[in-house]
Amino acid sequence: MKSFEAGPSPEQIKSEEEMASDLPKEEVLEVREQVEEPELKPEQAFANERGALERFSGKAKKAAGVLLLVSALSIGSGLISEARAQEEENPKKPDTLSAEQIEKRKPAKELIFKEFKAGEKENGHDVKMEFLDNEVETTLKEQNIQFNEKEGSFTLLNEGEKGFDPEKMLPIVKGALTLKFQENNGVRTEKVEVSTEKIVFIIPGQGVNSTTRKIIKIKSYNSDGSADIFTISDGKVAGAITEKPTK
Amino acid sequence: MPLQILKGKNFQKIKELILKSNLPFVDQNELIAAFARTNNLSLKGVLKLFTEDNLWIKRISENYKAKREALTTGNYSMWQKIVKEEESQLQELER
Repeated sequence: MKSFEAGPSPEQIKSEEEMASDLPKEEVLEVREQVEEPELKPEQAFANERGALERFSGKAKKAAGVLLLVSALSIGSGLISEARAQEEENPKKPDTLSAEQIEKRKPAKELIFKEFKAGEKENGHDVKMEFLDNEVETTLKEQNIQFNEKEGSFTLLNEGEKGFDPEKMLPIVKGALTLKFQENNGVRTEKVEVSTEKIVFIIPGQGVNSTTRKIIKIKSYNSDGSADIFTISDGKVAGAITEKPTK
Repeated sequence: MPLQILKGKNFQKIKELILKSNLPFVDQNELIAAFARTNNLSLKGVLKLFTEDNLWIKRISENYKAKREALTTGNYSMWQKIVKEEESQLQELER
């Protein structure tokens, strides 16, 4: 009986080239294509799609504009206006995005950590979150979602249909809140952008994790282009990071 | 950034059409949430497309989900497949 421990003899071991030559040519090509497949970059994907769809006219052109809008929404970037331009009769834009344009679109940010100490201006101040637009509240009500302005949490009042994913509702509330700092001399109101990943939905009877988290992060833009990202815990400012755009 | 999206009539009409469609509840929500991030003007074309042929609601829902998956996984060939499918749908419209 042949011993497995001995392993193959040097004659039995084939080089990569020999193995490749044993394979049918199509298979070799397929293997190489799989290895060399470029990674999908969002902006390039968008440019690639736009290049493919711009030859259409009339009704198909309008539909192409919608498909590009869907891409922009999938990417979640500021490409929406470009998608709309595709629908217009005389869009003024380059055929494809240059590397420089793509680079410009990348959010270049520098994070500076700022920790509040006792007695500092914002630390410990009560915060209250309110909707800028009443229609947002109405929409949430329609979806049976209750917003807790103190905790920054969202409660789904009914269990909802099976398979309901509260994460899908997050874009609706993103950017829809104002932040009010309760100060001695009155209330200072700032418009803020909510960090969606920290918005909490509380679903009755669906796990402890979703009911115990009460931290929310909110972003407040400053006039110099920087933004303060506040961490709110139990209705109080617990810390902040200042995010500055790199020059 | 204030939320302007929910003010628009286009969004409301699109939302109604999606809710009336036979898409699964989760897909309906996903699509509504996606369009909720868009301004009213951008939604004009969507509303026209959905009103003219409600088959496009399902197509767009599938297109959105596929694109999300391709982008999340960085799958280049999947994206190319999506674009090919789009081209064929648009060619059908041109006939």
